[in-house]
Amino acid sequence: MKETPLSNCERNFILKAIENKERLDGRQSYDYRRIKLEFGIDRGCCTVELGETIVMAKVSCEVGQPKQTRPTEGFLYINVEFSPMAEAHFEPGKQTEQANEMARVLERCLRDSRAVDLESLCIMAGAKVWKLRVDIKILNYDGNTIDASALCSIAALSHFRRPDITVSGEEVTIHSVDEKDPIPLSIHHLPLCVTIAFFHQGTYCLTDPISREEKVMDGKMIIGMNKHREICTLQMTGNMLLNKEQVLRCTNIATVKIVELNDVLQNALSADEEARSSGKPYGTYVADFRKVTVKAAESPTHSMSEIEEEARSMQLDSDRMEESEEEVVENVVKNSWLLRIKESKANEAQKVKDTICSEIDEFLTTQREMSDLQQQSIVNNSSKNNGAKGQDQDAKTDTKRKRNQNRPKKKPDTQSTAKGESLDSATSQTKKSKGKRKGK
Amino acid sequence: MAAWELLKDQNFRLDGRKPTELRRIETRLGVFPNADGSAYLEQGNTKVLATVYGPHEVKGGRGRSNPDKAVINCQFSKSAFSSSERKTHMKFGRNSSETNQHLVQALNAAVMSHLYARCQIDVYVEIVQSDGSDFCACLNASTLALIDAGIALKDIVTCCSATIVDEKSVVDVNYVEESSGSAVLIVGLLPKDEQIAYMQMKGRLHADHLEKLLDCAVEGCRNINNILKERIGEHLKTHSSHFTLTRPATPGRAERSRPAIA
Amino acid sequence: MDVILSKSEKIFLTHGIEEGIREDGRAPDDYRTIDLELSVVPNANGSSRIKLGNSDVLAGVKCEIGEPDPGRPNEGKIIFNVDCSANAGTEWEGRGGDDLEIEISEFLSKAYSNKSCLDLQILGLIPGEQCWHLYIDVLILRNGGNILDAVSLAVKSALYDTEIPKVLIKMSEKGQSEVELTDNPSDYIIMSTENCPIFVSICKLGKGHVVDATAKESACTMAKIVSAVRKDGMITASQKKCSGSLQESSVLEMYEHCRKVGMELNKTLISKLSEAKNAPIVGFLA
Repeated sequence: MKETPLSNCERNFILKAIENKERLDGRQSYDYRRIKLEFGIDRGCCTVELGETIVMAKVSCEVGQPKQTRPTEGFLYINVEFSPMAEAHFEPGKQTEQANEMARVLERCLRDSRAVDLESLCIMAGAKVWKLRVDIKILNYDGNTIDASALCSIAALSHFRRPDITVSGEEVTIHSVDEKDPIPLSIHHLPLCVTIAFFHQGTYCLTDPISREEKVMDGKMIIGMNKHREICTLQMTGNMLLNKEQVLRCTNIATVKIVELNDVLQNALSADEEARSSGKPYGTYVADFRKVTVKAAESPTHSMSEIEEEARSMQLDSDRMEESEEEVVENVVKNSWLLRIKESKANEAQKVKDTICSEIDEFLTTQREMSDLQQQSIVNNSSKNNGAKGQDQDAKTDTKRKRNQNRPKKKPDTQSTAKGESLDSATSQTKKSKGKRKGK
Repeated sequence: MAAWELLKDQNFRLDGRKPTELRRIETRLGVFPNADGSAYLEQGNTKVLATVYGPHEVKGGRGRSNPDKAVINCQFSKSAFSSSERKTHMKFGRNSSETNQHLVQALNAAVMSHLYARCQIDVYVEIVQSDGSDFCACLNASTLALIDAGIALKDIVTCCSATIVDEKSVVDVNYVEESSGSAVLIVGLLPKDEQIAYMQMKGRLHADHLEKLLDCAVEGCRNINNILKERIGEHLKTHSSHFTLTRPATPGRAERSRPAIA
Repeated sequence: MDVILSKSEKIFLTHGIEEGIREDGRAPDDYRTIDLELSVVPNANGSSRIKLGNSDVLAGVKCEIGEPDPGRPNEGKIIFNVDCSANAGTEWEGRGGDDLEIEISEFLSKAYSNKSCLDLQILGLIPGEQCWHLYIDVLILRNGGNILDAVSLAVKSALYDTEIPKVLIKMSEKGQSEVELTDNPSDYIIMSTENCPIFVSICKLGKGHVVDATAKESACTMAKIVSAVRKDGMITASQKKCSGSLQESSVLEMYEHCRKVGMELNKTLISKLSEAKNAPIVGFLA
C-alpha cells in the first residue's frame, strides 16, 4: 500500500504553527511526549511507548564462533523491523531505507561506543563467544522511532540475563535458568538518543517530532549521548544546512533531555527489580496496553515536565489532605468540648438565674412583711386614741381607701399592690382589732 | 599502539604528519570519456573513482520521479582488494545502503536540483584502495565528477574527517587512526557559507571536546576546498585553451569561469 | 554494452570483414592498443590495469592463509571474483552486471583449472592443514567490447606482479606446525605465470572472422568462440557463444586462428610484462 501523502494545507498549517512556537499536540518545543517503559515477563523484553509510538525490543543470545580478526570479542547484532501493524505502507520483510538507517544508528550508538562490553561475552578465545541479538519491532508509528528504539534496546540489554556457563578444559556447559541464576550483561554506560527536527531552513528546531512533523521537517539531527555528557553518535540526515552554533546548541539540548530519559529508564529498571524480588506481579504490561490506549484517547498528551509537576502537586495535596483530616478530627473534638462547656455554663447560668429569682422573691416577701408590720403599728396607734377617731379614722381610712383605690391606677403595681395589700391587711387587722375590742 | 603514542609525543603522527596536516591530494577529472562526468581522487593512500551519468530520464518508472527536483541516485562500491584484508563488499548490505543514502543526502545539499526536475543523476563511486577517510574521499571525488559532468552546483561539497588523540584534534584520519577506537567525526561542508551539509560521528566523545573537533574538521574542509579549486582550475586550463581562469567575482564558485576574449 | 545497429550498418560491416577490411582500419588479426600497468594498488599483493581500446579492467590479487582442498592437501587454491562496476554504465548498477560477472568468473575458473597453468604446489604450506588462497578480484571499469580478452590479460599480468610473502613453518610446543609470516616486505616468492592462458575471442561475421571485436562488430556477430590459449598454443578451455550455428570446417578454422593469435599475444605480453615491472607507476593520474 502506498503511503498517503501529506496535503499542502496540513503542511502549511504545521509550519505556520511552528513559526508561532506552537505544536500540534500543545507541547513546548523541547518537550517529550509521555514515556512509558515496561518490561515483560521474560528477561530482556521491553516495550516503550513514546506518545503514540510503540516500540518493542527483545534480546536473545546464542553461542557461536568469533571473527578471526577479533577472537576475544562477542557479537552484538541489531535488527530493526517496521511492522505493517505500525503503518499500512510498511511492507513485511522488506528492509527499507528507514529501518536500515535506524539499525545503523543504533549499532553505532550501542556497539561502536562500547556500551556493551563485548570482551565479556567471550567464552573460549577464538572458539566460542556469545552472540547477542537485539530485535526491535515498531508496533505503532507516530514519529521519533529512533529515540524510542534506543531507549527500548538499552533497557532491554540492561534487563537481560544471559545463562551462566562453566568452562572445564575444552568443554563448556551452559546452565539452564533452573540450575544457576543467569548473569547480567556487562554494560559500561547507557547511551540514549535524542532526535532534533529542523524546520524553516534550520531556524526552528523541535525535539521528539511526531510523524506529521517528520513529514514536514527539513532534516533531523540524531545525537546519542550518555548521562556523563559523552556523545556516542552524531548524525545529520535530511536536506538541510546547519552552522556550527546550531550544532552545539543541539548538543546542549540533548544533554538536558538525556538526563530526563535516563531517569525514566532508571526508575523503570528499579521498579521492575523491586517487583521481581518482592514477589509482586511483574511484566504484566499486556493487560495495561488497552488501558493505556484508552487513556490516551481521552486525555490530551502531557509532557514529562507537566506530569512531574502534577505528581509533585498531587503529593502536596495528599499531604495537605492528611493534615486537614487531622485538623477536622481535632476540630470535632474541640467542638464537642466547647459544647459541653457551653452546656455546663448554660446550666450554671440557669442556676444563677434561679437563685437570683428566688432571692428577689424573698426580698419582695420580706418587704411586704415589713410594710405590713408598719401598717399594723400605725393602726394600733390610732385605735388607742379614740374609737371616734377610730370612726373618723375609719372614715378617713375609708376615704383613704377610696382614694387609695383610685390611686393604685397611677402608681406602680407592686407598690400599689403592696400598699393595697398592706391596706387590706391593715383593714383586716383593724377588723380584727375591732372584733377583739368587741369581744372584750 | 605504543609506538604511535611515542610519535605523538613528538607531535608527529604515525605517517609523519602534523596534527593539522592533510594527506597529499591528487586529482584527475575526466578519467572515463564515455561517462558524462568522472573523477579520480587520491587522498594519501585512499584512491577513489567517481563517475556521473546524467541528468537523464528517471529509471524505475514515473513513480520515482520528482516534479520539483532531480532524483540523485548513488551507488557506493568497495573493491575486494582495496583494504589490507580481503573483504568482499556486499552491494546490498546495510553499510553500503547507509553510505549510499548519506552520499545522496550530502550531494542533494549542493546540487541545484530544481534545475533538473523529473531527471535522475547517477553517481557511482568505486574505492580502489582504502586507507581511512573513505567516505570523505568518496564525497570529494563525487563533487569533482559532478563538476566534470557540468551539473550546476551551489558550492563544492568538501568532506573531511577528524579525531581526537590525547586531547588534541587531528585531521584527515588514516586507517590506523580510525581503527584505534577513538571518536571520528566526518563533516561535509559547503565552504562558501560555512554550512554543514553532512555530519556523522562514530565512537565516544565527551561533549566538551565537540566544538574543538568540529572546528578542526571544518578547517580541514576549507583547506581541501582550496586544493580542489586549484586542481579544477588547472584542469580547465589544460583541457580547454579557450578558457582562461580569471579570478571569479564571488569566491568558491565551481562552475566554469567566463570565457575571456583570447 | 549493447550497441543498436541498423540492418544496413550490419551488412556494411559484415561485407567489409569478408573483404578483410575493418571499420577502424585494422587487419582481422590485429588487436587494439593495449595499455598495461602493474602494481596500481599497493594494498594488494599484486595488481594490474589493462586498457584494451575502450575497455578498462583492473585486477588485484590478495593472498590469505586458509585450508586446502581435502582432495589436494599439498596445493593452494585460486579463487576468481569478477565485479562489473557501475562506473561502466548505468545498466550495471545494482544487480545489472550479475550475469556477466558470473559468466566471466566461471570461464576463468575453468581455464585455470588445468594443472599446467599455475604451479599450485608453491602455494601449499602445511600439507592438509594450511595453504595459500589466492583471491583474484577483477574490476571492470569500462566495457568497450571484447571484455573477456581484457580480463584474461589483466589476470595474467596481476599474477605476474603478485608477491607472495615468504613463510616460516615452525613446530610449536604441542608438536603442531605453525605458520609465521616474514616481516621483511622484500622477502617474497613469485609464481611463474609463463603458462597462464590468455583468452582469445574470435567472432564470425558472415564468412570472415575477426579478433578483438569492437562493440559494433560484436553487435553483428553471429557466433563467437572464446578459447584460453597458452604460450605454446595449447587450448585449456573453450566456449562457443552467441546464437549462430557453425559448420565443422569453420570451427576448426577459427580454432587455428585462435591458436596463432594467442601464441603471438602471449609472447608480446610476456616481453612487455618484464618491462612494465620496472616502469614507474602512474595509475589513474595519467
